[in-house]
Amino acid sequence: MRITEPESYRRAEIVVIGSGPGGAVTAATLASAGKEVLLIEEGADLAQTSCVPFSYEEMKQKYRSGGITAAFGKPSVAYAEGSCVGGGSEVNSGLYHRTPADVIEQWAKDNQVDFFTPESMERHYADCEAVMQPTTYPGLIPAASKILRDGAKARGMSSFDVPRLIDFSKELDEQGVQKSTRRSMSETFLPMFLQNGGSLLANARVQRLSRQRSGWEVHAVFRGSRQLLIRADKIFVCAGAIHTPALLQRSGIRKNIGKTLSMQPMVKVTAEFDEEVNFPGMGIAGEQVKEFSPEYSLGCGISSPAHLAINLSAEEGGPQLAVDRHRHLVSYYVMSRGTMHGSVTAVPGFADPLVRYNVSQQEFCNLGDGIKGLTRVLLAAGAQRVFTGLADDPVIESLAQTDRLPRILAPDASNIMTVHLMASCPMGENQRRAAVNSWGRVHGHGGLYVSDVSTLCSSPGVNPQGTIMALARRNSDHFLKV
Amino acid sequence: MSYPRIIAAISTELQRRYAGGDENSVRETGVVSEIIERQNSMPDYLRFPMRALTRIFDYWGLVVAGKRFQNLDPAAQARLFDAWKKSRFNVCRNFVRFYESLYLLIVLQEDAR
Repeated sequence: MRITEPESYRRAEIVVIGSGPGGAVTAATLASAGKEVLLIEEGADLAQTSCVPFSYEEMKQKYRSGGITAAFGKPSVAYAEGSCVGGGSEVNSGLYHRTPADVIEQWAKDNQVDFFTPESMERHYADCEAVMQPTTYPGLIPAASKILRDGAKARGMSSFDVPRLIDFSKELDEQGVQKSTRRSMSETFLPMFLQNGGSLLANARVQRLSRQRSGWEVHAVFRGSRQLLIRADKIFVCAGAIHTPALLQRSGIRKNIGKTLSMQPMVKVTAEFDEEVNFPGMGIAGEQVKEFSPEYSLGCGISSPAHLAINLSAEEGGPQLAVDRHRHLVSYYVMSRGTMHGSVTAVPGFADPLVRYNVSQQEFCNLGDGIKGLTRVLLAAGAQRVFTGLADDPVIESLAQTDRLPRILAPDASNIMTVHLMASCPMGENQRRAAVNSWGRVHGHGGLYVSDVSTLCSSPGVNPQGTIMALARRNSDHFLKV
Repeated sequence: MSYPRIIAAISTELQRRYAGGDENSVRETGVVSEIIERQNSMPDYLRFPMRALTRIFDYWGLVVAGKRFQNLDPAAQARLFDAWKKSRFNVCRNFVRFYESLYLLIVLQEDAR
């Protein structure tokens, strides 16, 4: 990608901070309207082919802190964020959903978001979908998907192949499924941005923003040592649910910032089959059971030997089983809708903010229910054993045994993680709870906008990337009109 | 110098559990330097507590078995590791889980291909 060389001082009409789905769509929309845009990304510019998808190497290269991050709470929740040009879109599974209409209506009501309806969002979703082209498997679906589909059907539930942001090739894998590559920001909106004259500066961490008489100053560091000063008329902060509020707090902006972090907690369940069901390069299969949505969803996880070994590490001999029998093992997840608010707090002297999140009773109920339901689905699909990951009752071999699984997950009973963090700077005109207005402008700070996952009003109960992009498009369109 | 020795001892214990082998094979695979590198890239608020907890774990061997973890014989190391793995304290279980997960990711990374 065409990367701008850092200059100690430069001016830009608009600076966009963060090149993930929010930042890339914002930058591309503004650049295509003729604005002079500088897009700053903290992570490196890496090709999709720089590592194997969903591998340890990918974690090291493209995740913040090598993928080792956690929110403090009871229990602590491990989380992962992308940190490279293209942000989370370069590392995620690309599952694509629109936020359900009732959730949009609830956000509009609770946070008093102006002109925000399912109908008004339609064209923004459509604009982004025209570029991203979410698609389902054209031929055979992966074995992991078929298991979930068959098991759900046997249990009287419906499941579906969720559209994904991927490109299929004609080449087939071992199981006869078409191979695919991610249709990420670096393949879509970022090339559009550059073609329209935008400038991209990678490896530059923005430390703070300062308000000037007219416009803003961006104080950044390139590759950890070289100080940069950038003056801009307008700034869009799109650094994600953790680092957007942290940057605003470091810049002295605190009203309703970082106090309402939400996430979608997940637990992993692993199933063992007699036949081979796990194939090299399977990645994350797209099937989901949304029967209990928005409260919780069931879906397919990463089933590499390393991830399976970690899932089974609580089990005596589990990691060895993962190595010896990985072709017969598949990983699934239960993902709850987030209902609790956590926080993000920038701590003076520390580079990273402190993240807190307490999983709520409702989330423990959802996860407990989900583990039981998923175990039954997998057994109905023919699993010989299901490893629930529960400390007290890890292995289930029959439907009768599922009755003893707890309805509510105990806080210490399992390992909870998440890849979806959001709502730390919610939008709306309700100034008691909203950090930014209905169009992303930070309340009380002219020329400063937020346009990323942090502006969601709560957890949407589905993968949020589609909504992040549509909101970024909506905010940019409004910005260009006024 | 002592911190890498603690990580080497923990890695060796994990190697015995999950892959077979001894301290030399841990050194050859570069697991120790990889774990330390990963720790150094963690957020400040996790890195400092994890390093402190690692030292406490090492000295816990002195409390319960008369020698620091890094100096215990393999059987005693395994007992101490198991005690933390099954501890009623979350922090001890999370400590073991952290090293187990990182070790497994590192040694099994090639299988992802």
